[in-house]
Amino acid sequence: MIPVIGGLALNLALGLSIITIILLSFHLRTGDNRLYLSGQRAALAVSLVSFFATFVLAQLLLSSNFDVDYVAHYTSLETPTIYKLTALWAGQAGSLLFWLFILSIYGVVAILQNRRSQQKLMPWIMIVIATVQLFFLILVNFVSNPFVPTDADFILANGLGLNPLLQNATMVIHPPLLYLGYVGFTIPFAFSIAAMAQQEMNALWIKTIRTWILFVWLMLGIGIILGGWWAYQELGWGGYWAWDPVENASFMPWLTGTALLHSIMIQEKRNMLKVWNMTLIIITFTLCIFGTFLTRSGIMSSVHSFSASSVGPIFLGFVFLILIVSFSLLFYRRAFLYSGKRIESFSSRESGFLFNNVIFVVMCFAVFWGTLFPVISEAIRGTKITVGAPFFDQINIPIGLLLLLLTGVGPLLVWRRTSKQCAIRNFTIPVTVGLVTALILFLLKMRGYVLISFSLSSFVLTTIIIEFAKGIRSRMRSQHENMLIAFWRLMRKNRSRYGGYIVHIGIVLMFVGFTGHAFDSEKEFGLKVGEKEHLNNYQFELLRISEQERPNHYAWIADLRLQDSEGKTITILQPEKRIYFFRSPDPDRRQPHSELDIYNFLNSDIYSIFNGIDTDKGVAYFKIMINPLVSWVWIGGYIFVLGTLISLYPSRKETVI
Amino acid sequence: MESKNKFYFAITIIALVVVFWIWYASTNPNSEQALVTFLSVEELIDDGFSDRVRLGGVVEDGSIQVDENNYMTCQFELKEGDYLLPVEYTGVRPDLFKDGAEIIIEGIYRDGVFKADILQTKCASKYEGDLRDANNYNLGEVSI
Amino acid sequence: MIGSIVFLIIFILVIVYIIQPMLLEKDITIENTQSTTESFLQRKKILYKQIKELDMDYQLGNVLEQDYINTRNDLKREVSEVLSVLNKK
Repeated sequence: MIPVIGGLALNLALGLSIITIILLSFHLRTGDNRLYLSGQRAALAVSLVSFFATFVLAQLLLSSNFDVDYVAHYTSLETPTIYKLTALWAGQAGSLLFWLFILSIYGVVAILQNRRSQQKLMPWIMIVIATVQLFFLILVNFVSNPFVPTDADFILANGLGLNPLLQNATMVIHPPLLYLGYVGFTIPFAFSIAAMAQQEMNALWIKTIRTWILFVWLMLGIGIILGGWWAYQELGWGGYWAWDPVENASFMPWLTGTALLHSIMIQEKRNMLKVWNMTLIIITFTLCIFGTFLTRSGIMSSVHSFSASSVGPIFLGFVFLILIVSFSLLFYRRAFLYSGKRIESFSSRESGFLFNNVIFVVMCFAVFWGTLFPVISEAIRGTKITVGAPFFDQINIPIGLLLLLLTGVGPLLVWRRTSKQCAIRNFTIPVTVGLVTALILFLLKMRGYVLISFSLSSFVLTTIIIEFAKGIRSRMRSQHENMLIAFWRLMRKNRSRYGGYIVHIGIVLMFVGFTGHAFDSEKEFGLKVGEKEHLNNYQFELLRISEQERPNHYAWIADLRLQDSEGKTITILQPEKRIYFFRSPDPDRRQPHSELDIYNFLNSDIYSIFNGIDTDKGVAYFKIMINPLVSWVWIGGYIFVLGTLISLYPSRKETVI
Repeated sequence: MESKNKFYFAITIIALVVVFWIWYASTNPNSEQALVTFLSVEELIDDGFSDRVRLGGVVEDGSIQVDENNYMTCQFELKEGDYLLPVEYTGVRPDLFKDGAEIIIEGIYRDGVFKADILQTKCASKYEGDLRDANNYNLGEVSI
Repeated sequence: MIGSIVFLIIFILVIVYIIQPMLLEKDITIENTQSTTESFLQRKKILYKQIKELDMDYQLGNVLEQDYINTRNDLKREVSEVLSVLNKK
């Protein structure tokens, strides 16, 4: 019975979203506020009914109701409870419903939060949100319905189970965060369409939209970092980023979102660049929909490819619809958006931001180009060319380094104009530090990108540290505070500025981590118990292999003793080889899985994989990788999150005058 | 030149340089793994490609043989349509690599044997399996 | 059976909730003046913030005195424009 209610709820939500659009359109035409009030209630009802449908599916998953096809596909009785819940976004139908669920949360928040302050824009904001909801409701109702009953002529005793790769704590939070990011850009998009339609874009609008963008951008950023962390911990190829289409899909809106975050500040402060900001918002939102399309359509054969399906053309149609409608509106309203102001100087914060914008957008284009290159080449030349990670590395490393350079230059430029004297004074120390670093690295026989990357990192860190130091010193002098208090108050009084600097520190540290990739080393070998093998300065000795039967898998556990060059034991690595579904009578159903073990140093990771075991000969096979500086990627990630949170933290009601 | 125009000029130059760079990298990749042609087994055998190529197909049942002397090396046959291609692969075999698995390989075809150095399995296809096929269920595991 | 009754109740409640405002005999008015005032206050806040930041940058030695005076005057002029609008209300 319950599955039917889920399906009915989706039908109802679909109808309500259409009603919302109709009511609000009539309100806009007639100005009748009764219609507005009804429309607002209908808009809230769409979201509430969507919540209801999602809860129904969650309930079905938790209670293992195998009458529902989706439940039987993605869970089984022995799936741990938490992963029964995460199966909500494991498959296509569920994840589309989940998209709708998150959009509904955002929608309710946006409506309740802004219905008074943005009253004039509200009808349009609600229409845009309802239209996006309608699109996803059409998908879950007619194309990929999560409540479809099981199509089998016998009663299912058990389901197929969740992919063991997805049974990992990170996978519990990675997809929801990524979705919070993807979906969230709907709201700034709705605000922009509304502002253009009603020709009203005031200071309050910018404040609201900026907070949304910052929050959503943070979620997307954490989602991407966690995705890399998951790949590194679980997939066992020793890296965290492979330029896989699905990864690129989340990276592209993050790039344009970052550009937007900077350029919206110019609009906030100088009331200019509106056309450009609108363009960026439209592109970012389109990339979010496009990203969902890439993940869900199966157009790309990706390592963690999902299913091929019929949602592709519908998504593509929606993407084109968004682009055509939004850019037509933008063109139609160009006079309203034109500010007539101009950027005064080459050497101003504004122009620095604009250069960063151009580079972010071009980098996004590079990623887009590489991602779609196979499709393009097949269409034009008839041969399918696959694009490997080296291609993306080749293109993006120089662009990334250019961005790193700007990260250092930007904070030294002030708004409107920076005079030459000040610039020279401010740049002297950081440039010197950068050059000295380069010289030292050169003498250490480092060359090329590694040299440039480390030198630029030291340059950027120096500029930021000097900024902090100057601020602290000035407070210590003028307010007679001690250093810690001066630091604390400086941050608190200028949250967005210093929060931004902290984000930059995080990014620099991540770059340091990326650069460590150039020094990776690896080795594959087989060992009998008691034998030893060497890699770099480390020695690996196989102490023993034990076997264990656990609830949902069978495991061989290797004890690998890790010793340094002096023979001191550092740790015992315990990589595992597991067989999931090992009780299955059908050998094809049994699935091996390598659970790796990583030992972290601050300067490098020792990464061990248990490849396989030859039981006849008693030989176990391992792959060991030594990955320098990987920890800094994650440390940089934490700092990035911290900095963004500082910027996001609402400032107290200010009492100027 | 007016400062505004100079500004747009500079931005255009930067954009053009980077676009040119993308085009340059697309036509002059610095690694043989950057851009690889994806072929069908039929095209490979008929045309005798000697460049690095990528192939997709299914592992022929019962064809996997692990090398006696080196556990890391194995031979198997890749099946696509009616064509069978002998493959030799050295490296870590993915967990899902077995008879009937859908795989993608990359390498060079020489003297009738395809020497692969990249082997990827298409992940988790059976999780999208057919519910009507009772064999898909691990009924033996219900005991918990 | 219970399920469909529950759903029917939800359905009716939702419809009543939505239709209710349209049954009102007279059109209602929704206050709108507040939002424009608020947005000017926000604009004022941003301008003040910019002045404060400019002062800080001047103290830190990031701006030359002449630029500092010019920019500060520009910002002050903008503030006075905003204030005059606010005073009229």
